[in-house]
Amino acid sequence: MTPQTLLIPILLPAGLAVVFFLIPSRVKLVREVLAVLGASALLYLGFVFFSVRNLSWKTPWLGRGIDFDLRLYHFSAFILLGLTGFLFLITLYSTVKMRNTPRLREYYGYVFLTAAMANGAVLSNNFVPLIFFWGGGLLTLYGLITIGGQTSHRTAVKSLMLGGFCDFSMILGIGILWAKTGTLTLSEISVKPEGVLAAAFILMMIGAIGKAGAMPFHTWIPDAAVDAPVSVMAFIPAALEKLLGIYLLARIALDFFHLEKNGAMAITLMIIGAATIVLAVFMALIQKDFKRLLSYHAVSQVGYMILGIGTAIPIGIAGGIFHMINHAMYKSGLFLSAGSVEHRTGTTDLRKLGGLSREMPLTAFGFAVCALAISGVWPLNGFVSKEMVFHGALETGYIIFAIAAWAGAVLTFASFLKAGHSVFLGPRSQDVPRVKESQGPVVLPILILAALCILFGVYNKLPLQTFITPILDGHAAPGEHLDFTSHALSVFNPVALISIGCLILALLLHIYGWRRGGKKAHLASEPVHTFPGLKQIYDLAEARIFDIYEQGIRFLRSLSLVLFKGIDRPIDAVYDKGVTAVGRAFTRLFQSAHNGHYANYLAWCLGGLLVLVGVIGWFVGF
Amino acid sequence: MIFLFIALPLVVAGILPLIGKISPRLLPDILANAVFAALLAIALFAGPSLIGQGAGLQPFMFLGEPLGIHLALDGFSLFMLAAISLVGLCIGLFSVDYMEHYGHKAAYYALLLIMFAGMNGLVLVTDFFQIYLFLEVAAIASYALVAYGLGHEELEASFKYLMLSAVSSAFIVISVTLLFGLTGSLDFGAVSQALRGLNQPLASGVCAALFIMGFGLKAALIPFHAWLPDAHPSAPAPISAALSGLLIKVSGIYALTRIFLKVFGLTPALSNILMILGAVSMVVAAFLALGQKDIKRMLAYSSISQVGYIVLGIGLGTPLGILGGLFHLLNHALAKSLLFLNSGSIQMAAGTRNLEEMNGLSKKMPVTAATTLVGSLSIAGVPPLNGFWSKLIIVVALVQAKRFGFALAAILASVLTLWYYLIIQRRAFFNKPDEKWRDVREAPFLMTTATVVLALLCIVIGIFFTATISTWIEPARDALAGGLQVIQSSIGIQ
Amino acid sequence: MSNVWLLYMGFAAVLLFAGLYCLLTMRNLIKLFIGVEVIGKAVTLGIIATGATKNSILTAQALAVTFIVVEVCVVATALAIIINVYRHTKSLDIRKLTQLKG
Repeated sequence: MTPQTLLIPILLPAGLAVVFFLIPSRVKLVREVLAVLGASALLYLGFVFFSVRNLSWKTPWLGRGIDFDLRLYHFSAFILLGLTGFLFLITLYSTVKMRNTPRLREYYGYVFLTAAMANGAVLSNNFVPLIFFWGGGLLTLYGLITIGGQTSHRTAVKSLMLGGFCDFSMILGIGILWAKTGTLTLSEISVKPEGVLAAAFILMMIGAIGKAGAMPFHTWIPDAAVDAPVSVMAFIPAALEKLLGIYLLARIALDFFHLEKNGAMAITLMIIGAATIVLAVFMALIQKDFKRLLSYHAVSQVGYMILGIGTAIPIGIAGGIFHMINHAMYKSGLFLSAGSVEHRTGTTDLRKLGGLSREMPLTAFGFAVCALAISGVWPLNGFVSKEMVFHGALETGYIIFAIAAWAGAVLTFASFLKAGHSVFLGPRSQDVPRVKESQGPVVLPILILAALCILFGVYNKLPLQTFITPILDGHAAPGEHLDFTSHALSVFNPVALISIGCLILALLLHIYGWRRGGKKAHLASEPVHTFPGLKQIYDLAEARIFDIYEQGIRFLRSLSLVLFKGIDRPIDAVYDKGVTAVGRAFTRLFQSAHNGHYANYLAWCLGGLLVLVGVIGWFVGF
Repeated sequence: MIFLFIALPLVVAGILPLIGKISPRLLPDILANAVFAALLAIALFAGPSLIGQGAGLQPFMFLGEPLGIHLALDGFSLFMLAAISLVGLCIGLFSVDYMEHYGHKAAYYALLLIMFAGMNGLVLVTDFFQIYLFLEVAAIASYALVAYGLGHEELEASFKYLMLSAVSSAFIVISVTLLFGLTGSLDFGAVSQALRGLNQPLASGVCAALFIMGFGLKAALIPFHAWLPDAHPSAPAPISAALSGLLIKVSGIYALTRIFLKVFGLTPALSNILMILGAVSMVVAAFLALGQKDIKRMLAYSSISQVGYIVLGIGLGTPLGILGGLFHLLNHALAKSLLFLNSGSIQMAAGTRNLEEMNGLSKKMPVTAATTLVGSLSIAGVPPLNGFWSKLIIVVALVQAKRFGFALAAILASVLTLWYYLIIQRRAFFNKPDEKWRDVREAPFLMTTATVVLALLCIVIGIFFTATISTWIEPARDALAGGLQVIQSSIGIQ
Repeated sequence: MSNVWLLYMGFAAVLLFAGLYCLLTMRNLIKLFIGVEVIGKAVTLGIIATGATKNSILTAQALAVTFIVVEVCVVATALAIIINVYRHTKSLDIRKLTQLKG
């Protein structure tokens, strides 16, 4: 395994992307086969790299410490495995689901280019290639969203703007870090977040959590859920961005800066995490569209990851990272099942769907497993990682965070009860004709992910010891042993019992709302929606008052109007009259000198010669 | 091996008219492009190992005195050869389709190969006499090529070009004669030695002035530039590319650099003169380009402007300045050839060179639009393309040498350059398409291939500019190092 | 710098200026071209003079012969262009050749 093979996860998908852009739109089978084969090869490579575990490759690139440096170690190998795994599942899914999309050429091209960018970002050991790959993902995301349809352009721009802002913040942070430490190599940096470095920490944190989709940088995700193709949603916001964002956040908290328990930075992270959990899940609860509901949950679950890492306690951090991979799996599965429903019924509106479990049993099963996993039901993977996060939150001493996390759990389960009840259970809705189960390539990824959820929950020793524990090596106090698996599945401790209580609370809430709404499942969230006080907030949220992007755009528009009328117009007058006129005058002057007469031109030449002789003579010194 | 660069094109040019009688189109195409490809291969692969060896030929005696043609290959020459062959290959590929409607392809390729033989010879010789000889070979071929279409415009342009160029060649020979009279030899090395020993500053100054006028006219420095805005637009597009991208640099800048850095040494006087000429060319030509309606004339003025940059960089005389100048030479050769070839594509497709008539061609000609964008941004100096780096190096070198006025002029010229290139982009490609371009199609495959290769090179060199500089440009600069000692000691840079 | 050499170069210079004057003032294309030829002769004279006075007549002869050969090629090309110009504009006046401006 030579070091140069580290380039394959970047070059192979990039090369395939170029091929996909070139294959004409009509040749479908070749494209699908090539995509699946390519993704399988990358997945195999992911496994191989994970077993190799340690490899690095470096070449000088732009000088001054900016090298093209790739490093495979346990954390990056783990993430790489996850990235390639998701690429494979989504590609398989897309072969059927995306078959009739226009611009299919570009879709596969962008998907593989995104994979190349993501692989490059996770393997980078130097900040400059990291920034390059990180930013490249923004452009491919833009492309993928625009494939969704007519109105998707606006959302695509929004994602680009928000992502660009977070990227810019990250670059600033990296710049400060470089100025202070003098090195750009990730594996060499280790400082305390004090003084100006605290600012660097915050800036880079913004970059990481923005990528992961935390509040307040999340507002493009619910819009994209409607505008972009569902496989794009399952690929990027659900899986890739979480993997990359939390990977970077974990490295920022663990490697680059030494996060102290209950230090100022840690508390900041925990606040952001807790706020995201609660606020996003409140929004999720009232959604009427299946995909939008899922997208708000994607935002909410990121809160758990950030909270976990912010606790700066090994079990909390491990929980946060474990939650990352778990979430990627079940959220992806949820989106894929929503896509499966959309594929067959043509809609994802909760008001129109109902009772599909008989006709689409496999999708329903996959959905159920993933929904239970995200709600934290024993013994699935979500339960394990959430418990770890709860333990960590409690250990910090600030109970408020744990309470916020539990509140989130209640509403999470309630909203999934609503979603699942609306789509799969209850009376068969009349708005949708009879359908069959989706085809193999659509259902198989959902089932694989569901199976992994079960596996990572029941046999949690496997992921915890192979993936997570090595990451925390060296970050625990000496003597403290890092064994998370022993009590992972135990329900006989106070934390677990409170969690189970939350689930029961959610069930009661759902039944209450269902009964109140006249036995219509999609109205089960109405009691919360119309709760006095909450209702006004919800209305404001729906009007996008809390969307910083929208507010930012509005502010910028009014600011630009002021600037235009007050400052730009006057300057423009000066400029227009002054500079351009002067420029044009010069141009006309010179042009008039070129009158087409040979003698004229020769005269200049000779005149120039005389001037030269004169100048040289003068220099020589007469 | 080295003399193949001169012999091969000449021999093939010699037999082409005969071959043209048998196979008027296919064989000449293949032969000419094969020659370019072969020369490029030699330059890239055999070249670097040959540096430092001189291939000396002594082919004939004249009345008992040996009259050898000494060819020497050093870093600078190899760099120029590689650039010439590379652009030559792209021009050859482009000509296959473009020259179809001009006809007489065998004659065209013969003239083209003669011109390239002349250019190759120019960069390889070590002797004033030979320089003049190969200079004229290339120039005469170019007079004929400019007039190739035999329309009124071409003939007018070619006539004025010929007349002005003949005068400049005469002045060059006068200067060579004076030097011969002063020092008794024609070889670079010998003259250089003799000049150091001689104490005739005025006479050598006059020689220098005559050389600046002569080669400055070939390089199209203002005020010797007047032939270029007429000649380059009127020539067929591949010839415009060859002239603008190569000939003015080889016969003008290369010769100037070689002579002033090797023979005369770059005294402060010469340095200032070159820099002023360069700066004036940069700025004035940029202003002139703004007012043009013909796309090729705008590009021609842009060539004058960019040559000003190169001369400014080389005239500065510091190692960084010369590095920047040489790098810009390469970048401009690639980008300007690309732009002229694309203007040929546009002319073939839309039948016009008038910017006010062409509108919105980007939908119909996407490849041409994209490659023109790359070329324009490269010359305008937009990162991360190659032009940005070379211009940046020149500006940094100027600032380091504390010539702030020139640095400002360079930046001003850059802004103007960006302005008029955006005009080209907007008018030619991005406006709403006119009805009459409904049937326009993209250029044929070989033509687009040639331009895509050049565009890709611009991008690749832009990204990997450090590798390019260290492999090609630094050896070139080091080969010129001799003349730097003089200027360094007088400016006081270490 | 011997006096003889300066004298010869002086003559060459006279020829040179005559040629330049012709180029600057004549309007007929053929006359213009003769001006170029005169300059060429001036240069040739200079070469031979230099060679004669500096005792390197052979090199000078080589240079002069080469220059003459090149000049012949230039003459051929220029006359070809002039003939074609005549076919287009039916006149040999250089003022007809001022279409390219600006």
